[in-house]
Formats: sequence, structure tokens, C-alpha cells
Amino acid sequence: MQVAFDKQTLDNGLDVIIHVDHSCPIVAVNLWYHVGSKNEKPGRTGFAHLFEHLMFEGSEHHDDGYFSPLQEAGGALNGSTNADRTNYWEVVPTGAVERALWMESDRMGFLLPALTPEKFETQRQVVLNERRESYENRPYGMVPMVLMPALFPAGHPYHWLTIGEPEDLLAASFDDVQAFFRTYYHPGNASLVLAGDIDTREGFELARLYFGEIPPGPSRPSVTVSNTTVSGAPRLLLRDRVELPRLYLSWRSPRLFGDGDAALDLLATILAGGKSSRLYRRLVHDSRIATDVSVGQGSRELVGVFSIVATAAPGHSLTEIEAAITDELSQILNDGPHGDEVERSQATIESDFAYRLQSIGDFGGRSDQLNAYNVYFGDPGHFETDLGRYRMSDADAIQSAAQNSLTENERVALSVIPAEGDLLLGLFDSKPVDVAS
Amino acid sequence: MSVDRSRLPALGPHPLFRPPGFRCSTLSNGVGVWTAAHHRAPVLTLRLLVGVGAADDPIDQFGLAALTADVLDEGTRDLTDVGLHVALSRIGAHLSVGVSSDATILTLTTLPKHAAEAMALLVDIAVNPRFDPDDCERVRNLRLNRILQTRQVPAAVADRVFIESLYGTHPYGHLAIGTELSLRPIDSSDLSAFHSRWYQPAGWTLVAVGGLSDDALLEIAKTELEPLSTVTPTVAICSGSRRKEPPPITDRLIFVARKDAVQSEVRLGHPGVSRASPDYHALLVLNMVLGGQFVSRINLNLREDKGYTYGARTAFDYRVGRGPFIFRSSVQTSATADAMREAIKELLDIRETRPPSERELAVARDALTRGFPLRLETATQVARVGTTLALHELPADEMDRFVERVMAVDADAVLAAARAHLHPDRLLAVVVGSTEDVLPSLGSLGLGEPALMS
Repeated sequence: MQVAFDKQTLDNGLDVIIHVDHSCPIVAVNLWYHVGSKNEKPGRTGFAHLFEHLMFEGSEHHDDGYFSPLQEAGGALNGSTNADRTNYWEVVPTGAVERALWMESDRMGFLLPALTPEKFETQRQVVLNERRESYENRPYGMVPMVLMPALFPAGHPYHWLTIGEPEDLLAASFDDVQAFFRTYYHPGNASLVLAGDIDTREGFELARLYFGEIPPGPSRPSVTVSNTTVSGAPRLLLRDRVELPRLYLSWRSPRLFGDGDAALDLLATILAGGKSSRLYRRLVHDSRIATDVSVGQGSRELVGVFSIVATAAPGHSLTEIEAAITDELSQILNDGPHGDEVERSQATIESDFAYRLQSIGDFGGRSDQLNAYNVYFGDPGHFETDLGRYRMSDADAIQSAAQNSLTENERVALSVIPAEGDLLLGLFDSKPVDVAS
Repeated sequence: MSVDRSRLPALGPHPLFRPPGFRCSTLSNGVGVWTAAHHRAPVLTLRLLVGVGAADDPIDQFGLAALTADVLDEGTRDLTDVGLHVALSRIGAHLSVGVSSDATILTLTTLPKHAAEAMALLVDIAVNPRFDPDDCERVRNLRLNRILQTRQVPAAVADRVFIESLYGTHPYGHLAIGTELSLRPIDSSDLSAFHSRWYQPAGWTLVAVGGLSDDALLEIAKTELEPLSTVTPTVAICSGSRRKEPPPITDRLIFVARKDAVQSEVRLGHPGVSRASPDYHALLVLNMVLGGQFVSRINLNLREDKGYTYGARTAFDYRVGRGPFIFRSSVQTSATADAMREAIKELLDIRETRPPSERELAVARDALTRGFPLRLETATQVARVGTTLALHELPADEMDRFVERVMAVDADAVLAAARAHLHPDRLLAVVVGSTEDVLPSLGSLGLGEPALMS
């Protein structure tokens, strides 16, 4: 699979990547800033994401909402923040590409003059409501608040969640906003993709016109990563407002594009991708002790997290479920997957790639993927290499990736049980934890 | 050259865009086949529209249509359930089965090189399900577990109570998944009977969109679909019940307690319009102004001005019969009554004191028409549009007239549509939230005494 592109770096350090596809009269504008919650300071968690909200509140030359001029242009737009990066995108009809670039460049170059303490306060409230809606008032919603600190003890920048702690969000000051913007929101820390109904030369010219005048900023402060590890196979227990107990087994795993990363993606598919997968068959189909199971290799820039999640069927305990999962895992660890399973998981991942890349815009579409490769790999043309990693990961590679990462001692097991439920619903000897919401 | 930052760049002319055209055929046994060649990416989407939905559930078997559809992929006459899923994963195919009130749609996405095999598997799934008693029971229990789990999902509770209370005995008055009581007694013989009655190929439309020519797509569809025997389906007779008027509601305000909830889930609404309404395009424009996008009045008021919520939206659900008009939001507990008051005020204002301005209308029309190509970019999107048109028996070239029709919507048309189809005086309100913190404040909303439900 090829996604053809051209790349130039402007004098101010902005990477510009153009991908041409004239088959639909739309253009995707996709801008990444290489900053996420891992760049935050302790005591100010949640700040990168709160800041993302402020980027939609207007800039010096358009001191009004960001959405309006683009929605009337027929555009779609959004942004998101995770631990490693913040991205912003617009997809607009061809005739509106200059408007999108004007808007994106104005908030990169001229955000602060339009920011007021009032806007800041309102968005703080919106984010607190986002936290309530997506975490606090949702079953199993507080799980990440337990798992991430357990996997990444204090001192590691993945210790806290991107949504942040409420007291930190309340403590964030207007001065923090200015400092954060000056440090991270500048061309030298950004990567721009224009994809779709645009010509390469025109794309570079427009990028230079709109972004070329913005001065570069300081180089990105390095992130300190402590050497803490997980040991002693911690077992934790969280009571939540849920009907059915759920087991979370997690390990630290290879980082994005790291050795073993692709193999563990394949393993996740073999274990729980679809109804022919091993854990689905064992837990949900045959023994029926679980009502659902999912497995994922969540790769991140510094280190990944491999997780297995299963919800108990009524009348079944997490102890039973753990035993069955451990048994299935030991078969992989001892014998590796079958060749046929590997081939099918490769076919699944390869087609998923094609489905995702149907769109030029949106999260995960071609423009976003070009930026991911550029920001994390320094090379937007990484599509074939990326797919090649999966084609080259055979049964042995999957087995050894599993052996390297999924060790008993470094596993974090979290049992979530109903608020009034018997402790025996969770794994034996689990330590109750409390998360303030 | 430097940028003129004194004004926003003007927008170019409206995009010149012809939506992908469907070629429609009817096979000798009555199966409709819509094809659209689409070469933007190596993807093929097959969508099989079966005109049976949750609205066709017998009154004592809510959830039957959805359970039937869910068990389709648990094995066929020739393939075990595992064998079937091995075959699907070998070609990297994604199968999804969706059941709405109006219809059942099986979607299979794959790479064009696997078109013939994908088509054969899709038809096998739809025509020859095994309905093994043990599989049926297993899948039914999984759905019962899902119902159990959603009791703790405030948004799901609010949606369920809203739909049940709004439509009562109308065919739209239950969720597709059914209820614990209605699902429990259903067994494989019920599924077989429902399947043979409703899954008659003569009532199907296959929509195939992707990286092959129309001829090739039609040929593949014919090979699998034309040999199927069929009887005339009962769909046409029964879909009339969807068009019945919903009964009047008994309570205006329903409260569901959720102890210590930090937010309240709020629903406001009433029966809306059918997709066949002549006001369809006017309502699209109206809803863009009211609550259909980020810059709509309701979201700007509740989120951007007040900070009460992460988001607030309104929507008309255009169905074969009168689908609901719904306001949805999750608002912070302390602001519940205020947020509801503001939302209700917006509904009143837009049809009384503050109708959409010319500027708002222009923005709404432009958002819909200039943004039109965005909604037809991928094969998957085009296939979805095809199935919607087929479901509502609209012409295959309907989208060719979309821009023109939206542009023709003027202030009078929008105001008339608002007055005809928004009824702030007849709203049903559902709140899922903290009794102590929220309930006492709801009396002031003018919706009468809250009825307590669980």
C-alpha cells in the first residue's frame, strides 16, 4: 500500500507534507503538535488537554469561536490530546482550504492576544464536565485512574491520565497557559499535512504563505522518565457502580514501532479479534464464564501497555476467568500460535489498514497517519515498512514477544466488582484501592 | 507575499461535485441490487438491507428481530460458527449486523479482491442460518447480560425510558434489544419462524460499493442472489403499523434516581417526522441552527457560554414512521434545571421570538451543501447512503438534488417547519440523576410533577 507524498521543512522548522488525491473535491488539513500529557508537570495534570480546548476559542485576528467560519464553509473539524501528541484537523471542500490554513496558522501564531481568563474559566468547566461524562459517571470509568499509576509508578510521565486530576485542573492558572503555549505551540514542534484535492506545489506555497511568518520557538524540553518497574504481580481491587465484575490484566509492553510491537498487535487479534479468536472461544463461546473479552496492544511513544479485559458472566468469578486466561496464555508462551492463526491475523490487520485509509481526513485517516509516521518516525512514507512489520512477524516472533512482555511478575491485575458485591468476586488477596472522583 | 489577516479568506464557489451514481437492477426473483463503482481506496462494502426491524417484534417478544439478526453469524447449514468466522477472518472481512426500528442491515467490508467469496459468505449468513438451540440460548444470554450492564449506564437508561415513555404501545416504543422479560422465553424455534417469515429475498436490496466496475459488482451479486427462491415478503403489509400516530404521553417529566450522580442525563423531545415529510430539507436546515452542530444555538449556549456540559445536541430521527425529535445532553448536577430551562427556551425562541436570522440560515445551508462531498467520500459512506435511500423507497439519484433542495429552503420554510414540528409545549422530559440534588429543582420547569421511574 502506497500513500504518495512530498515533504519539505520550512525555515521555521515546520514540517509540511502533501498527499494528492483528486478523486473527491475535499482537502484534509491535519496539524500535530508534539506535546501531550507526558509533557505536563506534576500538579498540573490535564493541562495539555485543557489547552487543546482553548485552541478553539479564537485567536487575535479571529477573536470568536473557531468552529463557525469552518462549519459555514462546509468543513468538519476536531482535535484530540493523548499522552504523546495533540492533533487538530479540518476537512474542507477544496475552495475553503485557504480559510482552514488561515485559521490554523492564526491560532499557532497569534493565540494569546485573544485568550481571556473568562474563556479559560469556561473551558475549565467544560473539561470538568467531560471528565464527569466520560469517566466519573460511567461504569468502569475510573479504571484507568487505577491502572496507569500501578503500571507507571510516580516519576513516570504515563503515571497520570490525559484528562487530569480535578484539583490540578482547578489549580491551573492563566500564567500556565501562556508558558505552555510558548514552549510547545510553535512551528518547530509541529507537523502539517495537506491531503486530497490539492497540487503539491500549491500546497507548499500555501503552507509557506500562512505558516512561514511564524517564528520558531525553543526546543522541546526533554521528558524525564524514572526507572521504576512493576514487580510482585500486584493485585488491586476497585469497587464501582457496575453490575458484573470485570478483570483487567495489564503489562508494560514495547513502545510504538518498537521491537515486538507489531507481534503483540497480532497476538491481540489472535486472542480476541472476532469470534474465531482463542479467548473469545474459550471464555465466551465454550465455557461461557465471561460475557465479553478484549485484548489490545496500546503502543505509545515511550512504552506500551498490553491489556486483557474480560467481564464475568453472572454467577462466575474473576478467579475462574483468570485461570482460563492464564491457561490460554501459557499455550501461546509454550507453543506459540498456529501458522493459520498468524496468517488470518495478518489479513485482518492489513484490511483494517485499508479501511482506515479510505478517508483522507478525520482521526486515523491518511493525513493523520502521515503525521503519525512523520512525528514518531521522522518519515511520513512509513506505510509499507509499517505493514511489513506485520508480514514479517511469524509465529516465533509472536511467541517470543509474548515471552518478553507477558511475564507473571510484572503483571498488574485489577478486579472491578459491584459496590455492594462480595470481595470474593475479585481475585484472591487483592488490595482494595480508592479513587476520588 | 504576506497574509492579509484583516479578514478571513473568502470561500470559493460551491464545490462542483456529482455524487456517485447508483446503478439499480432487479433480479428475476425480485432482489434489488444497487451498485456504485468507487475507486478511491481498495475497499468493498456490501450492505444487505432486510426490511424487518425492531418495530416488527411481536408485542410479547420485544428483541426478537435483533436476536434473530445476532444469531445469523453463529453458523450456517454448511459452516460451523467457528468455521464461518475463520472464513471471514481469512479474507480480512468485517461483518456487522445492525437492527434499527425500521430495518436490519448486514454489512460486510472487505478488499475488492475477495469480492466473490465475501458475497457468498454474506448470502450464506442471511439465507442459511443454523439457529442451533444451544447457540441461540448462548447469544440470548449475552444480550441479557448486556441489558443488565446498561442499567448502570446513565445515557442508556435515559434513552430507554425516553423511548418507552414517548411511544408507549407504538411499534417504536421499545429498544431493539428488548427487555429482560421479553427476551428470556425466546428460543431457536422463534428465531427460525421469524427468519422464514421476514427474510424473504424478494424484499431485499443489496448495495455494493467499491473498487470494482458496476458490471463486475452486479455479476457477483447475481451469482449468489439470483438462484435464491423466495415468496413475497410480508413487509409491505406490516410497515403500515410504523406510520400509526404515537399515543399521547401520560407524564411530561420522568425522573430516574442515580445516587450521588455527578451529572444528570437529560432527554427532551416528542415524536418528530417521517423521512417522507415534505419538510425534510427545511428541518435539516432548522436543526443545524438549533442543535445539530457545534455552532448551533443550544451547544453554544449550554457549553460555550455556560460551561454546563461537554456537549448538547438536538436531532430529528427520520424513520419510516414518525421517529423522535430529541435533545440530548449530560449536564453537571448543580446545573440540571438551569440547563433544561435554557434548552426549552431555545426551542420556544426559535419558533416564536427569535426565528433563525438570514445569516444563521445562510450558514446552515452552506454547512450542509458545501460540506456535501465530505459525506460521500468513501465507499462505506456511499453504501450507507444507498441503503438509506432504498429503505425509504427514494429514487437512486435522490442525492443529485440534495444541494438544490437545501439551497431552496428560505426563512419562511424554516419558520413554518419549526412551528409545525417543534412542540415545546408537548415535551417529554427524562432526567437520570441525583434525587437529593436534582429532583427538588425540577418542579419549577412547568412540566408538572415528576413521575419517578427506575
